[in-house]
Amino acid sequence: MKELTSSFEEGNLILAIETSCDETSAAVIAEGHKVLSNVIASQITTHQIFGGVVPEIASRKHMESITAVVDRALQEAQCTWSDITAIAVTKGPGLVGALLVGVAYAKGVAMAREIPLVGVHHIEGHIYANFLQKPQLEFPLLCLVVSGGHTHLIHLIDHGKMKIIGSTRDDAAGEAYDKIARALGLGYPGGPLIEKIAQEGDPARYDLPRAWLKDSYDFSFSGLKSAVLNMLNRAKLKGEEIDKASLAAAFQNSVVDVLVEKTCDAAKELQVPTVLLAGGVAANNYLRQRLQKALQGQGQELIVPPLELCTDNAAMIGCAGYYRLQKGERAGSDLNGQANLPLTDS
Amino acid sequence: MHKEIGQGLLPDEEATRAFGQWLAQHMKKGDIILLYGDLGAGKTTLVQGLLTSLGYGGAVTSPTFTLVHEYEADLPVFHFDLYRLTEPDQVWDIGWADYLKGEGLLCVEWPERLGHLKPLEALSIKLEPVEMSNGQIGRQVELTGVEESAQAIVREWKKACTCLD
Repeated sequence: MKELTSSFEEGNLILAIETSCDETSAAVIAEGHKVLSNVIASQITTHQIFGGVVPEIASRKHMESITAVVDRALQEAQCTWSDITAIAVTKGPGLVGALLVGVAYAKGVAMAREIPLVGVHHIEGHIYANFLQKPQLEFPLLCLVVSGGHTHLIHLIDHGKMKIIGSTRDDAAGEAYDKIARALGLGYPGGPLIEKIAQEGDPARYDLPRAWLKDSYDFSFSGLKSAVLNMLNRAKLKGEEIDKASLAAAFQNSVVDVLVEKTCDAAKELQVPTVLLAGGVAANNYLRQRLQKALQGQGQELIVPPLELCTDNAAMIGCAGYYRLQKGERAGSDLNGQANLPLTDS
Repeated sequence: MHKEIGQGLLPDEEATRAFGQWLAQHMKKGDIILLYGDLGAGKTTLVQGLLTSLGYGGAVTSPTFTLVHEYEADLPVFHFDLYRLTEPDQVWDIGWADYLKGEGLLCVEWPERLGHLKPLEALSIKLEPVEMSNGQIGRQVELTGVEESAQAIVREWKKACTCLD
């Protein structure tokens, strides 16, 4: 088998593929930063091209839609296969069956077209959603990654050189939002629904805990979740009415207080001029505003990706892949999807 | 069909963790634990205790969003949360057939989602919040086994509880 080591040149056009969880996504990125297309299958309204199937959860669904999604990405970018100069694909973490669909497809195309291939860590992709907008960002940086599956504080020293300085010990922040929304009967996804109803509530009405986990940048949200659920259970047992808006506001305050304080402390200690926000929860306005204000207060700047690049998408994978390709990194035919892939230097 | 049922009270999170540790010592490759209980009932806490006891030192986080987390402990553990599934057949899409090959211990949150695919040989554990006499909220735990191997674990649990009394 031919090794995928051909050169990576200027004027490059990267095809990026992301299939780590629910979304099947493909994007075409020019020169590492220009998003020519970014197709996300579960958000496409014209279901017909997928035979009426909207991808969800399944690796089988990824398999059914990947060809159509990639074709659509090429079409929207107004290019053909022969224009593509490299492939970037999410190699983990995620659902192993789902990851394998993207990885196998990427390997096949890279081999057939004899172009370079690179594997990208999903979280690194989220971080690089920021570089899509601001390629001129200077290291060192600090990034708060908050999503349904992840909550991390990451110190970015250089491209491909990063250190996780804090993580959740139980639930991810986005997951806590979803679970509380579920318990309050608000629906799914929980983030936007809690944020909306919280605007009409008084956060001071309910006293909820905050897990500070002293001397650590780690997070914990399961204690807060239990406190809210216990409050709801008690009220139910005693036949008391719960002010949902105020409880949602108090819950959101608890989560955001901890996220903001830990991020500010870390930013101060590491003396980074700029802090990045990434992941699905970065779409939360309340978090954006509070974090921006707090960082401003200590002379630091917050960068936030545009909403459509916060949730899972292939464009961010293309951007992260670009820097790895530039450093000469190439994946071989042995590239594999890894469910528990740790975020490490390379 | 005969069922072996055992009950107990877990007064706090530490007790739930300790119960998980006890369970770990009685499970082997290919075993399946179905974990019933509402949000915040302590399902993930129980799995955390179980993994500590199996020598896993890393973080054990909830798999709600990711559906399954895999841990390489003394006994490989596959921790599922099926809440997001809308019909039983969707488990085939996340590789259920492979996980049933018996390469590790399966801990499954929200097993209701499995419907008719629920494995009969599994040990079922139900966790439910209860108000205790001191006003604190504890967890009522119920173990159920249908097939012999699961029944044996329930009997072991009952024995262990009697010893504690």
